[in-house]
Amino acid sequence: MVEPILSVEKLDVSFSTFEGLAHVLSKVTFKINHKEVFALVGETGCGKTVTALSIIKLLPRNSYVQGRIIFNGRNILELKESDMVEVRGKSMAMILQDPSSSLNPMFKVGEQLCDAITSNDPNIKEPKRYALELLSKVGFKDTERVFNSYPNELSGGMQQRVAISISLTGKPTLLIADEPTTALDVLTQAQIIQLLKQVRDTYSTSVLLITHNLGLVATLCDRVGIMYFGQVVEIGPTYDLFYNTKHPYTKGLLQSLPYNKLKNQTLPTIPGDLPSPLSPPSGCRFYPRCPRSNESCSKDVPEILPITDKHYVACFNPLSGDE
Amino acid sequence: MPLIEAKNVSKHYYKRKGFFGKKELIKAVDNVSFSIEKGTTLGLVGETGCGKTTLAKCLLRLINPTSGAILFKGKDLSKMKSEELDDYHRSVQIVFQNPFTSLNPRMTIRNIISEPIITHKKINKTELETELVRLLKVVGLNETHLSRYPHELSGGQNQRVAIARAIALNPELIILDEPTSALDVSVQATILNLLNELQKQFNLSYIFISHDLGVVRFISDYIIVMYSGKFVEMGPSEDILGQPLHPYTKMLLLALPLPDPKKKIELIQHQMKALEDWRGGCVFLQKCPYGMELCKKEEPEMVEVREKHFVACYYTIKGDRR
Repeated sequence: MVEPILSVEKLDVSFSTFEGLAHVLSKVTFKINHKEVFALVGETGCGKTVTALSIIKLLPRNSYVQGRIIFNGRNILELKESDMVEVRGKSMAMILQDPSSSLNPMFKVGEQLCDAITSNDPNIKEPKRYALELLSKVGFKDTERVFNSYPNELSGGMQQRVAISISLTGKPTLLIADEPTTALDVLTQAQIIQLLKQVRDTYSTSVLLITHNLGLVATLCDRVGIMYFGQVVEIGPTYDLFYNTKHPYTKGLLQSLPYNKLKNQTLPTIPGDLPSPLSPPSGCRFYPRCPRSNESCSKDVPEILPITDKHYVACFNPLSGDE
Repeated sequence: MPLIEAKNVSKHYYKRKGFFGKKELIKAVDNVSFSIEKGTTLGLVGETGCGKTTLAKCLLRLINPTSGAILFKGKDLSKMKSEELDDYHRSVQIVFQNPFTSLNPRMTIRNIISEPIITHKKINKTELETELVRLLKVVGLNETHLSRYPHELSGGQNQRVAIARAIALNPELIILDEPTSALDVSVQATILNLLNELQKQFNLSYIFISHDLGVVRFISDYIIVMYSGKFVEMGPSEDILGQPLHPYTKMLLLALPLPDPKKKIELIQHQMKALEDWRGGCVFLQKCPYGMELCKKEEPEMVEVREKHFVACYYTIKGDRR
């Protein structure tokens, strides 16, 4: 069996706040294989971004992290900051949600790109030539003009492509994309999806996609992990997850989408609100909102267990196939 | 009589390139006409910068259109007297995209919702209080939320507050400018359900602005597709999504990622055409895969192809349709 690029094992993250310790992640476990697009899906505040930040080790100082994150055979959590500099931006890169705020408005695109290139490899002689090459790889035809423009002169989609080209400077083996298309409209989103696929194929990069857009997941990803309130509740190949849904929360998310539903229909919703991370419910964290919960759900925390060899679910009463 | 009718509305801006540069005409909204009946929803779809929000601002009379007329129950907005305008502003309300920026963080929910009521109505304290509680109940909140601040509520709850503020004066039309795009899918579903319910209860009309065709389809009776300040296709929502005619609508539909791993998105690849001989032809020509000679010369007009289904495209009307 081939070693996965990244494997996160029982990751616990909590933050100390004025009101006490907030448990944000508990026992998050998943892995990403070579050349795979893996999506983490969940609602706002479920811990998707915290997972990403712990992988790239950019969590704020008031955080407590436990568990193991193995990346290329090394435990990221034990690395010193000086060693992490070698990993971050080179073998592991990140694309942020809003390209207009992740690029520096004071510098030309070319300068920012050359900066990234020379900091990754100070020996490179002609950073500009490499930069132009990267820009053409992300789909620009007029590379010289883009090289000399300021970010505000480019559209949202173009800015995001520049951001992707910057993340590619170190030829990363893992690309973390935190909601890369949320700020973009449909046609530009489609272009970015195609670009990410292309990047995966040409650079043999694995992608960790963080999103709440299930449409994006269905079109782009190989495997999906569904997160609810700091826990991964279901992991599986995209097809299985959409057509053989096991966890009631996943089902709830899929049913609440308005696609292919007619006006005057009432959309099924998940009742209740997210609990507070300061006082999580005992037992399964989804049980207060779950239509299938029974007594055991409030007492014990369900472990994430395999249903088939690739499909895992953390639920005492998973849905059967035909429901 | 339609509730609101827009006739040949345009909004043009001038942009200067540099301080001494030449003025350049930007047609944010160009010669558009439509009407909304009472109790129906009109979906407005288009990419960023196509003029959706400018059109909404014209309807709210936050800006005046450069030319054309907007009729409210048959009366021209630009000729209304101030009392009539007060009445108009009461009848047309807006809900914005991001509830965290559209609600004042220094005001309690009580103040936010009571502000329009106090401005427009003479009402005493006890009546105001019962009215506030009633409004919150209608949108699915309760009186415990009254003394809270927006930052204490979640995104979905804040959007409910914004909706409560919009319906406080019993409006007839609410303009919804991407009301769910900042929200999670499960919260989006509750807001969409709420909007449908309110429409039935109060016979409201909506203009729903979005770039998500899936959401627009769910909520709208009619859909207008906008491109670069112009309407390119307009018709009943099932027609537009079931049998799209304009190449741009088709592109949008093919690019929409559906939550179904069996379906793949498609991006119609097109060569950018050289536009040297482009003089006022079709606005979509640059991206159109089917551009013809005629498209370069003349601008297509909206033609009724099927019942109530209009399209502005020479290829669709005259060309060989596959």
